[in-house]
Amino acid sequence: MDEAALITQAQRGDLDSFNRLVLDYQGLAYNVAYRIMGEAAPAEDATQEAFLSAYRAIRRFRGGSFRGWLLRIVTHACYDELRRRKRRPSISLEGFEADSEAGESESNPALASPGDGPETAAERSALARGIQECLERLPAEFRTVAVLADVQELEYQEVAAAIGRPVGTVKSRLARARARLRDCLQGLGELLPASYRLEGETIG
Amino acid sequence: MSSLSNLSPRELEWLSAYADGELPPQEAEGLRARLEQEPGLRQALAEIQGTSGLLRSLPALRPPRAFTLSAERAAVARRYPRLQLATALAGLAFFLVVGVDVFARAGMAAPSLRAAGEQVAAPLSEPAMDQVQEKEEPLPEEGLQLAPLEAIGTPAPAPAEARAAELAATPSAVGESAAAEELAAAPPQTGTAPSYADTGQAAAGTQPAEATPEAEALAMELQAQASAPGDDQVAGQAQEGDRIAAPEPAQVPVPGGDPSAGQLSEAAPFRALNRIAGSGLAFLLAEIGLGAAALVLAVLTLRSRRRR
Repeated sequence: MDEAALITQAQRGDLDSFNRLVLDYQGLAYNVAYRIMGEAAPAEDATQEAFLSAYRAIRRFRGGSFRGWLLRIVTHACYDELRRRKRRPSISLEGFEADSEAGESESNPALASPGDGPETAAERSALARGIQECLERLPAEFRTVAVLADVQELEYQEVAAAIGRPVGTVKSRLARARARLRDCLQGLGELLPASYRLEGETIG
Repeated sequence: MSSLSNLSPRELEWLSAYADGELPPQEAEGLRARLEQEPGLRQALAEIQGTSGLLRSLPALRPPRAFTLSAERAAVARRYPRLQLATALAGLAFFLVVGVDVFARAGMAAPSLRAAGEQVAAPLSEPAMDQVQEKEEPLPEEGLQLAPLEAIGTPAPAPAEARAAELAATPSAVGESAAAEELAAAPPQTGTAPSYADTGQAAAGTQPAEATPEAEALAMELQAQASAPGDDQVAGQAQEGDRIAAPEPAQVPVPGGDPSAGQLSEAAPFRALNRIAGSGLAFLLAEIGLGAAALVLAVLTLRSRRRR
């Protein structure tokens, strides 16, 4: 069954069809949530919350990019979760522990390319953590655009749908996010690929 | 410091969009020409591409579990927003009714009662005045002598005959509306007879010394009622003298039918009093109903939220 048919069935209340959509999109949704939240546990909560919201709202989906529509719900769920955590800072302690789990998941050997030595895998995971930290230093709206356009490689049009803003906003936010990230990433030093470091050096 | 910092926001935006192939052809053409000429701009473009490339190199994470919805969870998910809405509506309706109730009592009850008080003040009998004065003094244990109050607050006092029994339902309504006032936390000026009856009961019981100015005013009013037109007739039928005079105001609410009701209906302030008591009961029922509904819905909503 193609996606449009699944959506139609889900709109008629067919839970199985909806769950097939969930299975198709949960990887994307969780990754977006994780990159925005920076921690595993809240990303998981936000993802679950997003799919619940999507289930409630799917009758209101009026065509267009389902991915964009869903990602908009995911980003909203992430913002809600971030706000909740801001209000109740005690959660961030749990998050801190979860963060180390997240670090583990990024250093998960299953994710490393086969044939990498242990050192390379460790370096990769350290770099990944460094990039993630730089992402987290961005204001949420810039971070979201960077995650969607760069990490997830969505087109501007789809990013615009996901954040509910015009393409022009996506362009400017992405440009500024990249400039800030560039400044932050330079601080990672040896972890960066040589080519990237060289770029930094030549500009003086 | 990267060379990106030296760019104007517009240049930065152009380069960023150009790197993604999202710049309109005309602008892309112009930028390409500049890139050939300006090494700094080329450098900035390389940095943008490098940054974007690093982000793209982030590993995709495996979701820790499946996020599919169970049938139960899906049902709760559908129910939750409805419960939320219903709770909000019930809560809103509750506060609206309480607000109207309080407003009506504050705005209407006080003047009409004041009028009633003025009218009945004139025929105050001598013994009644004595009783009032007694109460103004520091009170002994059994000082209040508020038997009539007790009678008005409690339905069908002991000596009630057929007529009194007939009327028994009404005082109970009065008693309830007193409770309504307590529930609604009526403002101080809400000096209606029912709340006096309540105070009177309390005062006649174990704490006579706490007779408030309200209770005193009440006593005056009730004594006045005891000697109001129609009193003699009722008292005669009741054959219980002073003691039974109190149920007399209770006859006021009886519509038409009763022979003595015709006489009593001349006392307009009593009708006003009765209206207030009646609407008080309606408000009380609405408040209790809506309050309970809002509470139950809120509990259900919270439970749904937890189970989501």
